[in-house]
Amino acid sequence: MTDAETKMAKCPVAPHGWPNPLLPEYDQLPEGRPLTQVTMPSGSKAWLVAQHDHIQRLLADNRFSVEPHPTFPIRFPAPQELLDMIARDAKNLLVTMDPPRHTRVRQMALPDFTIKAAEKLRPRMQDLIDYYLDKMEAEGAPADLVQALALPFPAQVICELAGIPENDREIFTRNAAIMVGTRHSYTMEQKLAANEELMKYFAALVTEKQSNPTDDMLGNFIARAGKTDEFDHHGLTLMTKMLLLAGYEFIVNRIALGIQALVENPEQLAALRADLPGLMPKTVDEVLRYYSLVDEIIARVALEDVEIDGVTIKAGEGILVLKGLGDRDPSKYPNPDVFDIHRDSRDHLAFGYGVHQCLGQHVARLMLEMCLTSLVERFPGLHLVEGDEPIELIDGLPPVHKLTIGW
Amino acid sequence: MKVHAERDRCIGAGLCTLHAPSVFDQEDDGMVVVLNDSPTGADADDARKVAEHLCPGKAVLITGG
Ligand code: HEM
Ligand code: SF4
Repeated sequence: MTDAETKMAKCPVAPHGWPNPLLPEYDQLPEGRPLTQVTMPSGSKAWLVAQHDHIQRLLADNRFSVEPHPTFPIRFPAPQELLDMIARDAKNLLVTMDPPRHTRVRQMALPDFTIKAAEKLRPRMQDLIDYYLDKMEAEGAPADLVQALALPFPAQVICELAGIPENDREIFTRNAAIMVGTRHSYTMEQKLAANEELMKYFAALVTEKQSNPTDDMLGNFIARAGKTDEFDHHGLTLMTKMLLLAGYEFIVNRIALGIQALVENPEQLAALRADLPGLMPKTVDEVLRYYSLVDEIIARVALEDVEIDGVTIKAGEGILVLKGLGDRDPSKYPNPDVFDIHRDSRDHLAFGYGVHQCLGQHVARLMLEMCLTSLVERFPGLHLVEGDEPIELIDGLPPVHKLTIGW
Repeated sequence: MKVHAERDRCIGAGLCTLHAPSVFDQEDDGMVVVLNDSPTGADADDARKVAEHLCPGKAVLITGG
């Protein structure tokens, strides 16, 4: 073992202490980022995967599983009780199902997540953005973009898409904000209480939509599931809650970080402003690539021996996919740490890869595109107000908590 | 060049339609359908990019140059 590998061996042990370009441990990855073996807190073996090409190949390989397995790589020392709970819930969550069941369940949700389905939301999204930006403008600069737009806007869009009755949205937005909020703002008890209130709410909503079907994402999903025996009532409750919460934190972060990246690169912002329709799609992909590293890593376990580039990943060994590093792989993206809206970032890994690739990606893209467009069009003098540290690193996990802007 | 999509492998991510809209379409159920199986010029380049790097289901096959 080389020095670098020895050091890396300790890396994923801390709750969120995986290598991250925002953290010094980034430099500890061996040169060229080969597959690097590490030992998990449980003692099981796993491989860090940080090359773009390795990530695409391994995530598209159906010899890897997302289902609970005794040696599945879990980054924290977990008590058996917690592992049992995760395993119980996992049976009902799309993200932790393997094909063929995954394929059947994903297809039940898919018609409400197509490009066309997302495009239908466009007019309503513009109304919502205008509403939040009018309000922000009326209250005057400086404003916190997270509270003014990035947090409330996606919550409204997701609730409308899902078919959460208007009077109930406060229950979702209040608790979702706690669940994705930073640990500075909320304690673990508050987070557990928020989860419990959401579970109760979704249980009642499932019952309601089962007896009075509605034509919206959850209504359609519950109706399609009702024709199969894939889920019991508790399973549907977990699954519907997941469909709403899966991408919430991710999209909140991207809206704020996208604006931050543009404002910090004034010549690119000027170029974008001069050709919004032409450059916006590339800008969206570049924001997604550049900030891919702010999310949790993706984990899988090998069901069979898998050979890749002369390395054998043995059956039972895990992989920890560092998609954020894959999106900063210099062999794929020259000068990867430079934000550049002119590059071709279409094959970024922000939404993952393979059969679990983000189901909400078209809704997310549209939200991001429309927020960036409206802010850039409407506020020619957009700037960051000094004194904030927009990315708050807590145990290496960086949710964006505040971004103060003026205009 | 011939473009072929295998619906069995398609996971409905829609990246084909997003990045090569004159070659692919995403049907209402989310699955891919090929609109133009013999694209040329920039459309052919986009289709190749989809097949090689973008389609997460590895559902797009290209034969011939
Ligand atoms: C920019 C925002 C977003 C990012 C970066 C993102 C990222 C991801 C990633 C990386 C995965 C794959 C996880 C894995 O392979 O283990 C995923 C899956 C998923 N995402 Fe997103 N997401 C975003 C927004 C959304 C939104 C807005 C929704 C829903 C409204 C959503 C719903 C889902 C669902 C349901 C899955 C599971 C798909 C499956 O397992 O088949 N995401 N997302
Ligand atoms: S990109 Fe691939 S998986 Fe996605 S819709 Fe197109 S063919 Fe299907």
